[in-house]
Amino acid sequence: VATAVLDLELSTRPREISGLDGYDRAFALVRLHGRPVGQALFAVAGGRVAEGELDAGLLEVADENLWRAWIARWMGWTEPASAGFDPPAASVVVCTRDRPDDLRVCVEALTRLDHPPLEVVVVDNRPATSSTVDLVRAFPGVRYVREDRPGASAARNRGLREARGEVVAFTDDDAVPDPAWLGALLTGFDDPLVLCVTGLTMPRELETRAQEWSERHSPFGRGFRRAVFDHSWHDPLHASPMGASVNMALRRSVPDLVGLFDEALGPGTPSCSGEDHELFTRILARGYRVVYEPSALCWHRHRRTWEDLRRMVFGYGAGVYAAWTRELFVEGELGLPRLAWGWLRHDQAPALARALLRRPGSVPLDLVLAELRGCAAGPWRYLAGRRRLRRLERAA
Amino acid sequence: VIAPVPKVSVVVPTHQRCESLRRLLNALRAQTYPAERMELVVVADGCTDGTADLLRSERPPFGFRFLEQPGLGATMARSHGAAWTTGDLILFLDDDTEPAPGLVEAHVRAHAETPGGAVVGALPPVMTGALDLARMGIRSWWDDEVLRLARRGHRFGYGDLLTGNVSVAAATFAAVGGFDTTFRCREDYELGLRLIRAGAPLRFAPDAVARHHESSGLDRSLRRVQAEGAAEVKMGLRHPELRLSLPLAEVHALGGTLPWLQRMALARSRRGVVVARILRLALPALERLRLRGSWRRVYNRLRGYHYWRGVGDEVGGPRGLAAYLHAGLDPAVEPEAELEVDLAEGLERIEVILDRERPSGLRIRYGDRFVGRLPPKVGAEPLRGEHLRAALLDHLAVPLITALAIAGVEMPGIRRRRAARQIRT
Repeated sequence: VATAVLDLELSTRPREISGLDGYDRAFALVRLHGRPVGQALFAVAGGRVAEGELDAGLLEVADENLWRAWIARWMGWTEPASAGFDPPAASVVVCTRDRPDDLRVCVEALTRLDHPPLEVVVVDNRPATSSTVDLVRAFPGVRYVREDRPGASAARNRGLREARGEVVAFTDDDAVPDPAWLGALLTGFDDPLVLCVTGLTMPRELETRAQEWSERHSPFGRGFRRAVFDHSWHDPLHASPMGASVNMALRRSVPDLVGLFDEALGPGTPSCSGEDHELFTRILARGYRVVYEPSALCWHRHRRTWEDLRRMVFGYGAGVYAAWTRELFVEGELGLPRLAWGWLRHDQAPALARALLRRPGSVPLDLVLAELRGCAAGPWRYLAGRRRLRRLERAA
Repeated sequence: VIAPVPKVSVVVPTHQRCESLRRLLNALRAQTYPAERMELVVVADGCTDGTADLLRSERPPFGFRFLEQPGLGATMARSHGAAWTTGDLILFLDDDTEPAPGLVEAHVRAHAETPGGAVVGALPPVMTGALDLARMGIRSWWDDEVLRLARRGHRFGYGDLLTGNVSVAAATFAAVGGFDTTFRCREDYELGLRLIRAGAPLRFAPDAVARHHESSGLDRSLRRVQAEGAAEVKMGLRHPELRLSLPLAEVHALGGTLPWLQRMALARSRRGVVVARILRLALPALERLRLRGSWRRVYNRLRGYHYWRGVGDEVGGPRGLAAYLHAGLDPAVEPEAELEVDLAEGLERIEVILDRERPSGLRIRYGDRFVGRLPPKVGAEPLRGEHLRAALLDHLAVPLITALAIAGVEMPGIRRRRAARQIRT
């Protein structure tokens, strides 16, 4: 029982889809002339998505968003619409740790970008083996940087320092960017107040139950509508709609204007995640903007085993509360308790109730509990992360 | 007729900003445009901070004139300065701007493409000093202003003429009669309106950049809102046809109900003054507690208060406002004619027609089917071909799609369903 992942182009769509043996469902990213406009789920029978099923599924996608994209194309209208805008020069930074097979796929995709970057930098975070450096040697255009301070935040901060482009685009070693990815991210920078542009992230495969639940419970995708976030209409503390670090570009001036990633947060630290959302919050709180640009697409391979998924969901809860701990005690964001209460009341508590009552379609209980345990652990894990950081600094 | 290398007269009004002025003068010295085709007129308006000494010692490489006046305001200063210019183009710059080296050249290039009009340059803000919520808002306003003007297909309105960085063909400036010096604020909008009425082309030059060093904060922006409320009333007095499209006419549309505080402001009541003062005192506390939502609500209320206080001072209370708005209901004003176009003829062809006819509004069909209207906009430039696609996308996307689908234009998603329906029947 698995879900096939399809990349469907509306303008050349087939009458039906076959060759999906072994799958009982198909998940499709739907594009119009290359531009993502929606997603659809189809039933697969006998390895096929039949014509009627395909039509019905695609009809669901047809909203105003699709029509606007279609009419823009019909009129020959291209974004960005600003006169006199030249996309800034961009570096691409991939942070990795001993995952050469994933990294190879990612770096190969980066050599196929429509808008070639100024440079590609691979930041190798505390490697245990020489596998990454050996792999990078095979790609002459790619620069290798080794960062021995632990954690994705430390690696990304190093990437920001090393990069030469005015914009630094980040993706993860387990993600594969679409050829239009970088060009689309850069269109968001026509507004000087925009410090960060994030993109749409779709699942690369949904082979296991863990991967399906990963996509259902905490998808990376944030919809198919472009959005501009500014503190005057969006609460900076509500960071998750703004995207995630797997698919984002920052101006290189970010460290000077709002500061670096907090190295006590994020993967490779006790708090497991949260570093990206904490930075988005700071960007908004200082009066700058974040843009979500769904045309900037990349594909991410979710964790395959249930054990990994549970750990990820725990880490998600821990990261959110760790980041909030910083917002509350370092940045003095007194509006936070209300936000945390809102999350518990409107989202977490109902999910827990549904899981306990085993309502159909409810999130598995162990995932709900993992998230709640993560939330409870978050503040302490943030403090542990800070202590560890101080220790490392003293040792250095 | 403008000479191949037109002479550019830069006019700068200044008030107690000696250091800014020095920065501006240095930036003008560094221009890529030939100095012998430039001149500078600085009007020191009530300066007691050593500006006069600075200017007396200046020996710039271009023609230079320095005038003084006793605190009469920026409008008078600009007008006074413009009277002394001898160039083909007059470039107005504010004293807090810092022109990029290519600024003058970019203005000249834009005028060569659309002679006889006005060119608005970009004024990206540089915030001096600490950033609080109010100053972030000011920065965002300026930033959005540049983006709005830079958007492809932007249709100019009179409110797009900002005098911080704008150049006007000298002959056109003289022909429309220059600034109305009875305005102490919004004189730029007022000039913009007369330029549009005179048929002068307005355009935005994204490469004509003068960064401006913004030092205003909360209190200055509230004072500014109040002055704008008063200026808007005057605008409607000078140009009665605008009256019902001004923001203050919304009260009319609302059936005469304003929020309490704004009513108090309009009536110039003591209670309003007290409440406004309390709200003003609450703002820093809300900001310190990081309660942005509450801060914004209070701030918007205060802005509303000051706007209506400005209106109230000018019209003399609610009755005055009613009389003012009723006088705007002039049945003699004829609705402007709309041009009828058929998009089935092709967008390119329609664009050519718009560039030729310059209608103020459009009635749009696709074949037999009516798509929608682009109604005439008071105080906006007549339509050009360039406006068509942006306006269709922004205002008429859905009806246009419907019309295209009915006309049988090939669309992904639609085509297959029609086929399926045919099979079933």
